[in-house]
Amino acid sequence: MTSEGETLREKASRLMNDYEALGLRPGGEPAYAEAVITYQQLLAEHPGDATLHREYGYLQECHGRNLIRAAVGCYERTIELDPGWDKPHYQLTFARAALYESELVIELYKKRLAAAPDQIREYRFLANAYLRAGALEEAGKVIAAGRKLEPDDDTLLGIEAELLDASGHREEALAAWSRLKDRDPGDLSPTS
Amino acid sequence: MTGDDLASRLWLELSALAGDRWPAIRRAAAAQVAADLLAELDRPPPQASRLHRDRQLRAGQFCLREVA
Repeated sequence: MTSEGETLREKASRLMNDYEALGLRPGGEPAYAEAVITYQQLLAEHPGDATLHREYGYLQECHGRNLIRAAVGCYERTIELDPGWDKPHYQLTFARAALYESELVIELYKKRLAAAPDQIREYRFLANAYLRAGALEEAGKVIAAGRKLEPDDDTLLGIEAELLDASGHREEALAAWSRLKDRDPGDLSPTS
Repeated sequence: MTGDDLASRLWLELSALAGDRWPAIRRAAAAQVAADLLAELDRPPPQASRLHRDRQLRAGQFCLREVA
């Protein structure tokens, strides 16, 4: 609703500020939904207005970030409910990386590894967390340590293949993926 | 035969030799492996690597702010 005397642009700006301040808190989503309608109306009237496009882009960017944060909450809850399921751990790491919060999952998986050093999955999670953070050297160290416990672990080999690819060692990455494919031709996803 | 294949075979033979004591031996070895790893990861990185990481971190934080 437009307040008395408020132009459509002022309304859009107000809703944007409300959404930016509230985010996932109550009132945030209605402000976002109303802001979208307002910006779309403004853009229909002024399709060549660069400022409007920039503001609408920023509104969507904020929304995207908030949705990823909501996804983080879902993955954390999934892990609480089903601690033996590996997949949500990889998804949590990916979502945190998208929010530039990789340090949080790295600390989490370091603590978990310290508490369960004989569990190979903890090495996988930590190696993956470093890999997604772009900390390739650390990821390599975790893979090497995990190998001391399980030299043949497919998931660690898969993470190593990604690490080699990220480091620019394409041929070695392909060789690692080829070894994985030979071991299990039907499995296309090591984290499922 | 790759280094991994060799390690895998040694590991298998060791576990067969150890018999019932293998789970305890594996747990003790794992505790040492993890302790060494975590100590190494917590060691401050070399200056060049630290600069690179700081730059990455600042770039990430910058991405979260609206450009004025």
